[in-house]
Amino acid sequence: MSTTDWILIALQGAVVIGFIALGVRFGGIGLGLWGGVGTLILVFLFGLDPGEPPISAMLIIVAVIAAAAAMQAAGGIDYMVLIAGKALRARPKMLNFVAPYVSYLLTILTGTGNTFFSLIPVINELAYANKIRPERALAGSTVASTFGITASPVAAAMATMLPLVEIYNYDIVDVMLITLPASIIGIFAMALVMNNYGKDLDDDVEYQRRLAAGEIEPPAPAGEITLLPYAKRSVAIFLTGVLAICVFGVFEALRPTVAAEGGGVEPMSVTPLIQMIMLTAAALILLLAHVGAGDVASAPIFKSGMIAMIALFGIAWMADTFIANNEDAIVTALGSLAENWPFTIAIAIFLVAALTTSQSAATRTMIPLGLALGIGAGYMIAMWTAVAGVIFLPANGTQIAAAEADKTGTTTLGKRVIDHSFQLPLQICWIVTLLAGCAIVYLFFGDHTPVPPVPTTP
Amino acid sequence: MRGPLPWILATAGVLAVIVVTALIGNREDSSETVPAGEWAQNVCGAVGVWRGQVEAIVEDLRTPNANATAGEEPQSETPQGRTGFIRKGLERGVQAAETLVVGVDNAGTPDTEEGEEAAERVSDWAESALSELEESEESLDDEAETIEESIEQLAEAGRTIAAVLASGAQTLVEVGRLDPELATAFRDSPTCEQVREETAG
Repeated sequence: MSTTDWILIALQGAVVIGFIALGVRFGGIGLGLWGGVGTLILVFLFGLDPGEPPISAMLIIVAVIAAAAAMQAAGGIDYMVLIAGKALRARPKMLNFVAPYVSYLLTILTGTGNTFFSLIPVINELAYANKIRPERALAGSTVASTFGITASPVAAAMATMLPLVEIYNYDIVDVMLITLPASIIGIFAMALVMNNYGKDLDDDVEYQRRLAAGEIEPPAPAGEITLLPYAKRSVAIFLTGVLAICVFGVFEALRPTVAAEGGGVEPMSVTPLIQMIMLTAAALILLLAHVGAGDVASAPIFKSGMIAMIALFGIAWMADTFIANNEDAIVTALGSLAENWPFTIAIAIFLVAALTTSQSAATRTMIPLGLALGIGAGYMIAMWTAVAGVIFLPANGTQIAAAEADKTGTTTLGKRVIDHSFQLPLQICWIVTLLAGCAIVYLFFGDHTPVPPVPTTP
Repeated sequence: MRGPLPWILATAGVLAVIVVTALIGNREDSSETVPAGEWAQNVCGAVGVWRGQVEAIVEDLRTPNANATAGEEPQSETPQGRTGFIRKGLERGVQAAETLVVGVDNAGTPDTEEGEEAAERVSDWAESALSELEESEESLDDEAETIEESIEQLAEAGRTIAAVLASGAQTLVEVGRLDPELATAFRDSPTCEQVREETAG
């Protein structure tokens, strides 16, 4: 590639970062609108092919928000707040530990971080009702759900990883024996830091401003919450929906089969199932919890969800337009970095994931390179967890949805693109997970990679 | 925890990652002579990983749109991203072959009588695999004038991938025939055993 090409890529990158920054400054749907302007400039001014808007994620947000808003209209959120309030009465801050692990588990079971969308409004409401800075639980949970991917037996990234390490006698169980405990340790370290991160709500200037301006209601004391008659039922329906998604995620055989292109049939993917199940849950809440369809659209969760969807639309479309046109250049540049200085391989994996926002791209390009450079397969599995770098830039659906859900203003997408609420937990979690993974490989898998055979007489 | 402390810790963590990665070490035997067993192990490892990558590419090409599971992510890979899928597959094939060349080069030269010849043959094969895939990718740039030509272009791309795969297995067999010591090394190497199983499979 010529110097001119690199200058053009740098200029395109500056457009992306500039419009993300501008969108963040405007906030709300401004993020999506400015993302749309950025896409327009990339296509018309730089002549790039338009990328793909994140249609699956947007549709999942619509379906999940419909169900969560219906539950809120039925009083289900209030019921959950009451129950969680009782459970967390002695130690409300436990939410900062429990929420990330639940989010992590959900991703492991379904193999996609998209399931986490269903927890965002719930975690936000529970944190706020317990006067916990929502950023702590929301940012921690968003990061934790991302780490569920490399620990999930049903994730697409795992399917990409396995053929690369099977040659070294590492099967799916071995991979999970490294990534699962390592990420559990990483998430704990992250939650420990996040538990005390940022000011308490009472001392937070932005929250107090919003409160004084009437932009947000103070959390209602538990004693003042009046439960609507079908609140419990709506919660039961919503949680059954989430449980059904998990069951279908784990047991492929339960999913409807669809025709496979190469012949035969195969199980349907989880993504459309999430959409179907959540829409069905919303419909059942309308029917069985006696909620009016109009009440759903006026629920606060509905508004924040729709804003998140528009924000994601523009920003992710702009990011994908840049990435789809420049992925090869990014991978080649970072591949060369790792080739020349193999000790940077983990950083390179993280950066490829960050700059392509694709765990699969980082897996299929950087893991083989690390193996070709002679780094042990077990260690490469430990370093593979660095693909969580996909949330380095605030262009991921779960990040945008979490920031939009938090009306206290503590969970933000940052002012300078990389200074968002998810950055610190991400950095802590990927570093601790990777180091823990390497320690696990060193202690328990040292001789697992087949060693060169002892020469025998021909 | 407030202020710059968490960020200082995170920076220290990144440095720790670099130090640990450096301690783990890597193998760089490109200019060295290595025992036959080690060479066979390294070469078969590189070939096996490459076959795994090609397998993933082929699997992606075969997966139906609406049910695509491989690489399914919110931002970057939607069902609509299938345009130019064959071309993308070939680009990935070229990328994988580049990595194969790195792996084969890093394997060094076996310390047997025909070691240099063997290393050269494997290296030549890896290089030719790369150039064949690159040529195939470039041929898609030529706009087909008829639908028949267009289909032929796609079929040719598929044939190239298949031929490159077959020639890899053949090269390893030939290298084994060239030098009995290497044949033994290939027979005893667990990664070569895996490659053999997959090829036979």
